Amino acid sequence: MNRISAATLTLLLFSAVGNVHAQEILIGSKSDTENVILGEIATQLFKSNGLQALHRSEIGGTRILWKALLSGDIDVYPEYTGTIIREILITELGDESGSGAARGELVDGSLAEIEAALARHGIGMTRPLGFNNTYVLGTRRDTAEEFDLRTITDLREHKELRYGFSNEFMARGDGWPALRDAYNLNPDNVRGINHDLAYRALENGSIDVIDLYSTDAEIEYYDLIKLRDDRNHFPDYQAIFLYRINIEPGARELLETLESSISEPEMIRMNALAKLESVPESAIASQFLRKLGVVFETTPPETWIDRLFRNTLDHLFLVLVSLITAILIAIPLGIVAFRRPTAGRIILGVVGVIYTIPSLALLVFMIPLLGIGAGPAIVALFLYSLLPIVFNTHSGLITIPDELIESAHALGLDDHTRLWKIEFPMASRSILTGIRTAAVMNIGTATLGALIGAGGYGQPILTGIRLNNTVLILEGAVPAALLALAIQLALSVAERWIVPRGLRLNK
Amino acid sequence: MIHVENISKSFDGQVALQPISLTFRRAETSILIGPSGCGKSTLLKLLLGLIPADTGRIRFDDVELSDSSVQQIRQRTGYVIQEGGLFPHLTAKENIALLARSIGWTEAVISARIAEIAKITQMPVEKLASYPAQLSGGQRQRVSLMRALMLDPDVLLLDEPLGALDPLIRSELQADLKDIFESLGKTVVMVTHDLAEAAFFADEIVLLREGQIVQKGSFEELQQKPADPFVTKFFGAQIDRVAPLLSAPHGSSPRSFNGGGNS
Repeated sequence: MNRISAATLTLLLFSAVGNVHAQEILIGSKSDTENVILGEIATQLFKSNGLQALHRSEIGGTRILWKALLSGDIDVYPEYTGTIIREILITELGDESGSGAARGELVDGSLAEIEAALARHGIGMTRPLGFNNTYVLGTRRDTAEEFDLRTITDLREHKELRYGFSNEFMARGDGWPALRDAYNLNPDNVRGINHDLAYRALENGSIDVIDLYSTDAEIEYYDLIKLRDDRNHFPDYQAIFLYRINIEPGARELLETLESSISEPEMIRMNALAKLESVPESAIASQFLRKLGVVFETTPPETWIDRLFRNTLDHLFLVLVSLITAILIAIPLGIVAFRRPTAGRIILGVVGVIYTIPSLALLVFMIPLLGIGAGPAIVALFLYSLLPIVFNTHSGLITIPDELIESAHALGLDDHTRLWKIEFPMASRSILTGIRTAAVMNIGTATLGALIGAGGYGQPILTGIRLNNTVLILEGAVPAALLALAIQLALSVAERWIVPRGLRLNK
Repeated sequence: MIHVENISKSFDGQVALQPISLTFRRAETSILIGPSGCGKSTLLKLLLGLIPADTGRIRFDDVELSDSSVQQIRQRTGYVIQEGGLFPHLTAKENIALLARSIGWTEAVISARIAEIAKITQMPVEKLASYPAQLSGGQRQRVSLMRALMLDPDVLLLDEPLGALDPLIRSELQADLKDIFESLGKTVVMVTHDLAEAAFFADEIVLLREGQIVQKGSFEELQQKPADPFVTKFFGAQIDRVAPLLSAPHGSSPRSFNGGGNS
């Protein structure tokens, strides 16, 4: 089902496609463990009540999830009230309404007020789930003792401490910039780092201060000291579910049954199970639901073979569809660039510029147009593949010796014959090299597709990073490398068929 | 046969050919000769429309060279260049048959015609399955000539066709080429910078210098009645090598080969 919708997206390449899952409720979750567990709880809750539900886990950060919810790519995802006030309502809605004074929409930040603001965008919010997962700054115990740190204000005296903040925190409306201003902090060394890696960097002494989620299991595990927010900078981050207002009423009622059902210790315990004891999120969720009296026959967790097979299919789908489309479009572009030098300069320029767009940025740009999943990933991979194929087609043609081009003209061959009998075969080796480059590059870049829910080998890599599970990382990295080798091999065999024998004699 | 009227050409402001007019007569061999950069190759390319002329016009009998006629004129004209211009990814036979196939000749007709011109050019048929890289320099030029002759054109244009060959092979091919030109009655325009070759082939020699015609006429006319001191100078520099060639009876230059070139 998922793959079919992705195929549709690809066929309609550049046109936006709405939600094709009319009956199925799509639950999204951010790329952090707590969000995945909450998403899994909602999913199983729906399923146990006879609704069709699918969990698209680890799609990305707040912005990606929010955009996906607005565009209908997902119907539900877990969020926090503080994030809604400080991040979503300010940056997202403020921008879209163009008022610039969106902050003024909220007078007191009450739940009713947030609900009303969200409702104007067709989004509903459940009652709080029962725990507050606020941001805190933390340090190792020995650092806290050495520098006598108890509150965030205490940090002001120690500019030399090294800060490592999650990338989202670095940029968010309620994150580092606002915190810095509120406390007048001015450290020498601040850098962005993946949240799950930050704990490890803190532990091995590469950094001294990190941002924490107060329900993170690692706080206790690593014996970290939370620095008190003595100026009350961070608001409440009550966990809730956001959902599209037009979602099935039954689903909405089910979500409301979770009101006040998860205490803070309970959430910390569940996070610890996932991150420190490697219990699958689905098992944690069903264990929790069983306590609420929800009985749900969990499907046995996927074996690694099943997962590998699914990831391979997803990855191949991303790579092959984007590569084949790119071949069909890039080769003609290369020919036009060769035959018409003026147009050629434009084509080579544009393709070059596209190539320089950072892949993560390109993926995120595409979400408003194409939603999340395979569609935008394929378009991004397609765009990146253009450069090596167009450039190599062009250079393969332009390096055909002048006297041969002249001979072809002098013979009186028509354009069609010249192209197919002379120019193409003579440029074939170079064109194939371009395709080979694009293919290998695609296999690597496609792993980033997992960041926007496209699946593939990037999925176990992302999850592995999140759970500090090297085996899981290798489960994505090794097959990706093998696939690259396999495609190389396949193309070098193809070269024997495609590159004319006469050209291979010289070598 | 070929009428050149007021044709001129410059490249990036550099004059390659001053406006010149001349006629290449049917079934005669005309030689364009002169030092490097005199415009002789440029003139040949202009005849085929490979580069556009700045001024003037070119007529093949009554057909004027234009965008609409150029392809037809090229198909009725054989063109041979120094290194043969053979396509390395095609076998000798595929090179020769390329144009005929593209205009729809049947394989049977093509094979018959190839056998015929292989005989004319003394090219061993079994070598035609080879790729250009597998042939000797002399064989490559024979294949190139076969490709030029495939459609039995009225006109042959040759740009230093023997320039890259070693002397022995070169003299063999010279003799063969001359036989072919005469027996087939082609209108031939050949570019060379070698006076001995010019003397050997020419019905008429056109001596060019810096894009202008210095003199045209038979070898004897140029030698005996030079129109310009440059003619005498040009002849003086090469005449020692021309004399022995001219003393040999027509068409009986050394031809000890059996068609295989230097392989």
